[in-house]
Amino acid sequence: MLFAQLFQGLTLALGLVLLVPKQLKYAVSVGILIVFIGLTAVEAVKVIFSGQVSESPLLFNLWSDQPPFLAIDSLSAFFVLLINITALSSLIYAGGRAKRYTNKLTAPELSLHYVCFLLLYLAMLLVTMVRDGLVFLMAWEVMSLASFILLIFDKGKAEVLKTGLRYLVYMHVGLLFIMIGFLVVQRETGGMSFVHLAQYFAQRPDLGLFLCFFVGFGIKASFMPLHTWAPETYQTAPIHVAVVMAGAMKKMSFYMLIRILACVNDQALEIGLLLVVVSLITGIAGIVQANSSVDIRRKLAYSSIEHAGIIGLGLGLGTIGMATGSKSLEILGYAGAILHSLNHALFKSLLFFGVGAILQQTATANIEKLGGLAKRMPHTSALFLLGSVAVCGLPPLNGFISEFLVYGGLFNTLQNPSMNKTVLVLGSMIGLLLIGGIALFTFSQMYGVAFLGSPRSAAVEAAKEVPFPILLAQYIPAALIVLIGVAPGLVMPFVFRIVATTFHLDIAAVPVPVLDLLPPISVISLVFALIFSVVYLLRHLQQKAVGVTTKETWGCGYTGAGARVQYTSTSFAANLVGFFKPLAQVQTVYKTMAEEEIFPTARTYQVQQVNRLERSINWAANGSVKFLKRGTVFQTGRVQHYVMYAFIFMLLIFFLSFFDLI
Amino acid sequence: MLGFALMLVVAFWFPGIILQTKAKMCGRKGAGFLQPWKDVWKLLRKGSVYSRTTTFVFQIAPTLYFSTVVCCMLLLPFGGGDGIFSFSGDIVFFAYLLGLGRFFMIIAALDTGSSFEGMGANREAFYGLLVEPAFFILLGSFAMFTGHTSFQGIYDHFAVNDYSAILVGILGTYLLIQITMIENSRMPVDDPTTHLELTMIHEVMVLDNSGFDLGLIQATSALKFALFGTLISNIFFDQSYPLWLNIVLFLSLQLAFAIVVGLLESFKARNKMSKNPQFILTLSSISILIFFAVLVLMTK
Repeated sequence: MLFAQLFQGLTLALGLVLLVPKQLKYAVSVGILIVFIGLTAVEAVKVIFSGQVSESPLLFNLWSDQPPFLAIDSLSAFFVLLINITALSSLIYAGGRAKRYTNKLTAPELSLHYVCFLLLYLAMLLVTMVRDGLVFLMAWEVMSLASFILLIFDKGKAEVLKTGLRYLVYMHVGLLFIMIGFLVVQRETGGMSFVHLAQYFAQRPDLGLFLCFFVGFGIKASFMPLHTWAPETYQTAPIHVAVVMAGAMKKMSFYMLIRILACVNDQALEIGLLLVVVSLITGIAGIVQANSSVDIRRKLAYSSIEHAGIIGLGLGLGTIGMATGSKSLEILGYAGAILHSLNHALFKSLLFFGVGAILQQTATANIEKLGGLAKRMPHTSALFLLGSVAVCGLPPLNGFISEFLVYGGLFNTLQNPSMNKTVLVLGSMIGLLLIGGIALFTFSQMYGVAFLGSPRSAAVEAAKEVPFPILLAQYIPAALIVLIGVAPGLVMPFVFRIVATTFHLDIAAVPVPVLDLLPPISVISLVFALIFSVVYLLRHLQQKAVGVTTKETWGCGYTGAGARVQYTSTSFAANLVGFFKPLAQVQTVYKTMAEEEIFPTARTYQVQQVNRLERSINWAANGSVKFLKRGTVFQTGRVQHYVMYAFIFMLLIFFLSFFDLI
Repeated sequence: MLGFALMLVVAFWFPGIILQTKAKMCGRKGAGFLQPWKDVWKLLRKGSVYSRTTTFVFQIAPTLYFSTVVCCMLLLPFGGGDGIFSFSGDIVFFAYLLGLGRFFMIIAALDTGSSFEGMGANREAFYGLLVEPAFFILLGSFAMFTGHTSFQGIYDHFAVNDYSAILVGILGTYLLIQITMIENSRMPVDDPTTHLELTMIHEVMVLDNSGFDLGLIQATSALKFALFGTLISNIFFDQSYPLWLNIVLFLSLQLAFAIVVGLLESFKARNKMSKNPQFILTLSSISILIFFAVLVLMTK
């Protein structure tokens, strides 16, 4: 009962960050974060283990009839823990950079940054814990504003400010759609709380309102074609902010989509199909564009878009299972989506931290200038390898477990085949396979070109291993990735219980014994590790006995090879990009040689990624701005004109109401 | 356990039979059919040379690749018995575990910093991603046909119906043979005997490996053949057969498969490299056709 009061009271502690001197601001922020993590995690774990919902009223009561309260049920508890893990590792990472920024920035700038970070964290927690539309909208808005301020951290550069403002506009367009959705609910059912939301879906056709919410939340979740804000935003954001945005903030829209899907009933099939189609397009197009990107942050941004597609696919399949009465598809689809949210937060944080380590040591994010970092940054490269294996969904790590659940749902649907269901299963399976295969391509490219081989520029030569906080920030998600991958039985019962309580299902009624799948995976992962260790030991003994020499890489007799003969990221991606040309949106700028050109002149060859979708959105936006600029004729700057405008407005209102027109 | 031992026995003479078949087709005497494993034994005792550019990835990749294939062998049943491990959905685990081996071979190739290995890695990654759908959809068709999602369940219930099982079995065998040729980097996608780098895929990817690692890689390719051969042979078993008949059937089917591989290698020319994606996608379309054939059979 005390939870909400404690939560509200501790929010005042944010003021402490403003009061302490520059040197202590980081430590105080970490302290406040840890206190909040302790408070919320304890409550969340209590809810998960006891299965009871925890409700406590907020202190301030601005609404006379229904006081807002903070409620944590099992779904909220799951996302609370997700937010806590992401925020903690992210702030620990920031500690590795804190000293440099403490010296560079003024005290107000630092305070603003840390306060906005904590506000973002608190707003995300509130989003998962409130059950009222209005408070939800306020928390959502605080989330967008706080992330905007965090985003424009490097505000000296004009590019950063422009990207931040575009991000703000996109987020507000999304907010507009969400607000319209809640206002429609208010108008039809008389209230904005989640209970009224469920009432609306019970009474009226679902699709229209769902579309409204889908666009609103889809912008933040970066479904295609609403994703165009994401690549530049993750490129310009500071790494710890990008981690919180990709890991936790994106999942907030999935959390709300799950809540909405739990209310949907009669048009669930159409909604599920829409989700599946949009998610498959998002997944495939997202990961293909990751290949053609050259900035490593941009690659990770597109990979996040791809994983949003995978989570959306799980949600869509679960909804279709709900609509068709296929219990196993419903449970496995939703469980896969929920677990993948957590898995994605973990491995995306790990990958972004690795990228941040590279940025810190080499000052470049251009993958074509990297290479050979594994020898210079051994911990980071080993952990990045772990993250890459996880992000491709390969066993024995956690990415495989969530994809395994979705595949399980798909295969189980094949048991009683009917034409429609099987076409859906076939399409989803091909889509998911392509996504997984292209992800393997992308991350072997990314890891191989950035970390392995020889250095491609002087920037890499001076790189060293990163300081301890950044390493610690990487080890935390890495440990969880390995834990969930090797011992999924620890997490899965809770995930299934969450699906059961949120969607009002009975786990025991599921025909396929899902929980029996998981111990064999753990056993075989351990057997795999055992076989590997035995063979490696034999190899080690043999090599110690016989001897090992080192030489240059074999070059077919050509001894002048340097770093330039290696495959670059673009050349590695060339055959895939050529195959998926419409999706990859790569433009080659090159003047081919004519046949008559006996003595060719000098040429340049440029391969660049163009985002045609974004270009058309920009074209539309610029066009409307040009049109709206005509309205500036009214901005004369003279108060007399403005008073006249107000007077005309009053006259208009008077006459319209006089004639009963409004 | 028996199946695992039999797979090892098959892997022992499989590459030798392929070499002998190819030699006989050319009118040569050919190397002895234990020669590939004599080479492996020699390599396992030889010293190694490592490139200075390589890191820990290059050290662990061949061992990891070998371990993934051995683990996959643990999942396959034999002639009505169980695999050593079996669980619902282990077909997904099987395919993704092979993907893990492929991932590590690709990054080990990029580790050398050589353009040859980079080329092999690039092609291997691309063709691997194109062949996955064919394999999965075929397994999906089997799962739909038999109503189970583990290898043991699929193969136990395969020979239930009569003519439809034979039809699906033959189509599945044809596709599996093609998929095996691609997964093991054989004709017509890749030629293991050419060492012209511009035309290689797998061979060029492992160019810098030597000694124990190279021995492991060659052993793994033999084991992979036995693995896929077991996938094919299991289609033709029946639970009612006595054990000795199943063993004889298994060994003769694997022998036939080895001879077929040798014949395909002798008589098929290698594809033009740019035509390979098209070829591999043809397999996916065949698997989709099989899928729909099974669907029609099941809904009748």
